[in-house]
Amino acid sequence: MGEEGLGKEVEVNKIMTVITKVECVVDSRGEIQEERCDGQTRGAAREQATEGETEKSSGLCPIVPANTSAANKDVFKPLNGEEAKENRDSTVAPENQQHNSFLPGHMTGQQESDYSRVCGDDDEEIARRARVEGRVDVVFPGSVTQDGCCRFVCELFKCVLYQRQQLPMTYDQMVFFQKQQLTTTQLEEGAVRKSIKPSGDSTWQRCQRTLRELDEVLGHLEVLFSLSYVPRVLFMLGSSGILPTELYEINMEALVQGGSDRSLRTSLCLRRLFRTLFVADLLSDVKPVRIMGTTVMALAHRDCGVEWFKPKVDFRVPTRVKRQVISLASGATGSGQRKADTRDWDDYIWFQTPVTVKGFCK
Amino acid sequence: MTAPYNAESLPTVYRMNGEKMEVGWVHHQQPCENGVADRVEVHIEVHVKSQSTARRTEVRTHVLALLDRHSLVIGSFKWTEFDDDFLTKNVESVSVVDVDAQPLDLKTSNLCVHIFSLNDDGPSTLTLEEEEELSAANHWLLPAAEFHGIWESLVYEEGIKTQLLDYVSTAIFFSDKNVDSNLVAWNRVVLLHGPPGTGKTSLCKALAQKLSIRLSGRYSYGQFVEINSHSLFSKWFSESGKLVTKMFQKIQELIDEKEALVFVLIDEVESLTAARNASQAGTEPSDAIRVVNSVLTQLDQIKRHSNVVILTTSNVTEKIDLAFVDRADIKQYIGLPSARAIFNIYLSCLEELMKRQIIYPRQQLLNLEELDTLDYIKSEVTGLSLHLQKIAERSVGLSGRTLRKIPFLAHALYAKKSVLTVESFLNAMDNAVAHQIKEREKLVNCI
Repeated sequence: MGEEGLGKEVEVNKIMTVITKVECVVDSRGEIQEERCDGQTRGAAREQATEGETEKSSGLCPIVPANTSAANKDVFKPLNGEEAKENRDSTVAPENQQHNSFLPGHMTGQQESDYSRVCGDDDEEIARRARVEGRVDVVFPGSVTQDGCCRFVCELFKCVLYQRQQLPMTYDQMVFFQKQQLTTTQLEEGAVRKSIKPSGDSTWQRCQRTLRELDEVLGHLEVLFSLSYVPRVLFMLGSSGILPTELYEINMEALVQGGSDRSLRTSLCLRRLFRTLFVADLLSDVKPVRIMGTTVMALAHRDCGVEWFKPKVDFRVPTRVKRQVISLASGATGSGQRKADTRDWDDYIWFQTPVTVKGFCK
Repeated sequence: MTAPYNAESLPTVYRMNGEKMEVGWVHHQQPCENGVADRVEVHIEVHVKSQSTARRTEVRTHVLALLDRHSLVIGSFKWTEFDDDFLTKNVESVSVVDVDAQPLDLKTSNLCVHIFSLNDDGPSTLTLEEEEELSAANHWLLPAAEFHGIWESLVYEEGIKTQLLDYVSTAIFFSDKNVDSNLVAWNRVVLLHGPPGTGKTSLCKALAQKLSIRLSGRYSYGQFVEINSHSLFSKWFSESGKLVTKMFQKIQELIDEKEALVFVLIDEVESLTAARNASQAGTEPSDAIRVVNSVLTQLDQIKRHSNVVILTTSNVTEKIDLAFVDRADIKQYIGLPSARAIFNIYLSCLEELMKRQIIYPRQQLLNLEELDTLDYIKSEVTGLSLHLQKIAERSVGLSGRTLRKIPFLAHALYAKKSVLTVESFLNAMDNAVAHQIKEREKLVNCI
């Protein structure tokens, strides 16, 4: 395993430099956090540094502690992760006071009041909508970058998988787990390794496999987003594309995209997104969910030339299944920004991931 | 969901103009306004590569241009190589299908172009109970890659396949036109029966595949559900009936999608329905009777929907519940293949082996029509074909499944080397057939 495993790690890390940014758990014990970040990417850390000071407190971890089977204790034990987990809740709160600050200054009074009405200072309304209509609306006060859209989708994908009990721990915990395992295997050289291996290793292997599949999908999503405008993405959990067990849609049609100079910071948008999602409580379920395969569908331009995805010209969104929609929108549009609905929708077709991400449990 | 996407996912070709919807039906003497009613209907199947993202309208234009350039075909014909870059890039094959082996001018015929691409996802499973891992049904999205080519590989007596196809498409057509079923009675239940190994199940799959391609103008996709009838019997007394209901509820969900054409296959249907008589004799628990009743009533329920076709197969027709037989409209006997059919089966086998260079060098074998014209007179040209015909005649009585195995057995048991000439292979097949017949006699004697 030694060298090959190492190669894997390098590879995985490489993918992650592209696709992930550290969502560190805000923790009073700074050193723990640091250790976790280390396992991820330096590039991400750099990005974080450039993004400025507010970044420090971003409680971005897409964990809403509603998962009943979140038995991550053994993973976190050496890290005192229990506290980390509790702290996650509190990170949401300070954001509340913050969010006014990222309203652009040029907003008119009317818009502003609209904005606060729509995007939910009214948490009850958000929760009601999620419960009754299966819909969460997130309105950002301005344009976002294409890159940002990709981040939203990737983070939501990780979140959905974890919350729908397809992963026993969050993505970041899995990455950490994998790193930890790699270190231990490196320490136990040769013969010693063999005797230890059979016991806990099936989980480790499944974790590795799932992580590999997941990283593959995330990496290729990144490619797709770089090639085409992607207005809608579907996560289909369950056996078939015709009759999935669960269906989640991320609708970004109403998002206005702009250049990085005039757009909102992705990290802030992400925080808003997950805060709303947390309030809406869209993804939690008391009932245990079966382990299923998950397929991702993305709507993209037919001539975008993406290769990994399978084009599904005749695909139609299943209507017989309850669909949970996470709708992202831009509340205020400035001039010179791209307006989404002027496009020729006829040119947009669905692309399907050729692999399904198969969940696992312990 | 917003409107633009809805429109997008409709097959573009058919969305353009309303009368294109009728393509599948014109051979039923649909009144045609544009005066082409008396023209021969020719079906063109265009298999688009699964990686292609081209618009269907564009594909259609290019295919029509191709057909315009090569408008004279003899019998069924398939293009796999094109002089047009667009077609090379996007299209796997263009085939003229299900026509008689006569010269045909495409310019004077009414062309129905069916554009499809295959779904290579494989079957997914429908499970009835959340915790139950065992699947109650397999479920394919049509046209499925798995079913591709089955239709061509099935060789029956003249007309059986086309009759079935015409029958089912008429049934769907009537339903689609809302013909009052109290006045004109018909239904969409098909029962195929006959000895084992004659390809009943395959025919069902091929039929569904074919229809989903043919009717792609009316229905945007097809679904194929294969029910595992054993999964409907529960270990709990009185639960079986409920399982049936649950199963049909799932199917109902699929049917509710009006854009989909749903084929439900109940294989070996006698295992479901034979039970009722047995239970009257007291040998079967009364629970079984509930299953049969439940299946019958549920079938009646879903039969009402115009987009459902129920396909059933059975080895033993006598054992099937009369109430069920009565419900099936078309009862087609699929018998053992005749010598002519066997000849064609062997011919296709040999073609494949020559293509893979297991039989080498390649030699031209004549088909039966050509032999007919040459009056079966032995000569240089006909020698091999006549030998094959003799083997075919001796093989009468073997099932299609066995026949397809003969070339393999011939190679495995009687070929002493890996690559053979046609002549030595035919000798090996001769031996294999003799062996197979002897085996069968032994088996019969044992009983």
